[in-house]
Amino acid sequence: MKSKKVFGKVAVDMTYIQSTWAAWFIGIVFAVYVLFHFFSGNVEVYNQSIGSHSFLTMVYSPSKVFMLVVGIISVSSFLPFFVQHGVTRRDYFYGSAISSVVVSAGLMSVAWIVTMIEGLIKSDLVNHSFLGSDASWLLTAVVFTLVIFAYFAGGWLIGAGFYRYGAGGILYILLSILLISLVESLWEFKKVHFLVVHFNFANGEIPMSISFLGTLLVIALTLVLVRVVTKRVRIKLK
Amino acid sequence: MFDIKFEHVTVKYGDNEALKDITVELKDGKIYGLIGINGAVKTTLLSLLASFMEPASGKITVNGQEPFENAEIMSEINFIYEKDYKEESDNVKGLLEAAERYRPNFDKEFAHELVRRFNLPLDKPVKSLSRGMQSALNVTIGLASRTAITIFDEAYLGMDAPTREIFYKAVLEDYANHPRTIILSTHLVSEMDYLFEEVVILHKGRILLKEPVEELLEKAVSFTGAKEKVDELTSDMRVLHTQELGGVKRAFIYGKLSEEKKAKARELGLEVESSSLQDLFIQLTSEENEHEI
Repeated sequence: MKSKKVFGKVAVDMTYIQSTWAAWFIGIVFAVYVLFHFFSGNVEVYNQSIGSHSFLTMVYSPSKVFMLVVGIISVSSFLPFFVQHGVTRRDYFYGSAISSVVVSAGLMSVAWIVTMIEGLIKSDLVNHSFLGSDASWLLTAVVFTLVIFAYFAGGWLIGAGFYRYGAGGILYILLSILLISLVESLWEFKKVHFLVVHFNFANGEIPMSISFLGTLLVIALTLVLVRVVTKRVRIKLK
Repeated sequence: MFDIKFEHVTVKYGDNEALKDITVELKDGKIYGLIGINGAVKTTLLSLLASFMEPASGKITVNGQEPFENAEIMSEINFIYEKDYKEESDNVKGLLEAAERYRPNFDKEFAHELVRRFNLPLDKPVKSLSRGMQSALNVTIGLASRTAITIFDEAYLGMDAPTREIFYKAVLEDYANHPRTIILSTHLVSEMDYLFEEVVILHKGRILLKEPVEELLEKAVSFTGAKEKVDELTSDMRVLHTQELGGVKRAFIYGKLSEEKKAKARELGLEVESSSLQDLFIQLTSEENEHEI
């Protein structure tokens, strides 16, 4: 079987399964969002009334956690299955990476569509983007996708570390926290982050190009680490 | 051709050597019985072939190529073992479809025929099936995948005797229709010996022997009769094991029996019997009987 065909199949199958999880996830967050909206009175999120936040802003943080968890369980849930079916670790790696980009973009798209509809219904929507009220839709969409994918990659690294090294995987949690913090610091425009202080940016803001480049580099580094850890990993007979 | 070669293969778990300098060749298109007392050691050997792990040293080749991370070879090797399905929410149908997606020669009709024979419920979640039913599902996937190399590592666990019979019959039948390499690892030797063309005995991390079953059984006989007569005949033979009751002795021999010896046994009035593979296996691997073959 041609390798190209196999990782494509892995990507399709994993996208299908992870999208099912994502559908449940976003459905639940949406239900909570609606309930809070109508029944909670004056709930404040990010120091603003919940009513002024868009769904996209609301779902951003839970999506990071969701993708982190999806990443953590990826190796232990899928790699043994695929190897048992004669799929190489390499094909699993590419398939899983592709499916996670698709799921990240899919989550963003659903949140984006819901927020668009929300904008038509509600006139008081101030904070439509987690990047600030003046951020463009395109920028918001790209950053949303990239950041939650970075969380997936971080989780993937933790799962890979634990699968291969058992308790030694704890070190991979630290590594992952470091990598994810790097990504977060690149997008935290409004807060003075340790990196900002460290690099002494005059106005406390990181240029957009650096944020993008930095995020892509961190993601690439994380993926390379995942591949190194899983490249020759022993599959446990379970 | 999917000839399998292990050359000086060693596997270590910490300081413990699970496999010690294994060199063995399995020609394509036969049913092999892999027998040994220690299940974990057999599983280690088989999981190397299935690319679940790499050896500490030595080389494994299939068709001249290393199977590890080789997509072409890996898709033609199927390793069936007792899987833990307690978190598997998919049903039987779903798992069969998954196998079909990744196995180029998967025969869906045959899979459904086996599902019928094993009485497997297609719509039930796999985690709710009994252990025997889960084994039947594994076996179904293994056979229907029709990979060039199919490994059944004690795949019958949990099956009752009639279900095991269905399994053995299906192996023989499908092998006759689609010849390929099938490796059956087992400790139920007496029940499965008729399936094997060749036998590999693994003991204490080493290959004790690898021989065609017929030739092996020709070498394994027992002489029964008066103690002194048995001793006279077997004095220059490799005696694996003896049993005595009163003045009667039974000696189990391993080695090619010459016509001369056969005639002498008749002359001494000894009863000559072929040993079963099971007896031979037990005697070769018994603690008091450490044999170099």
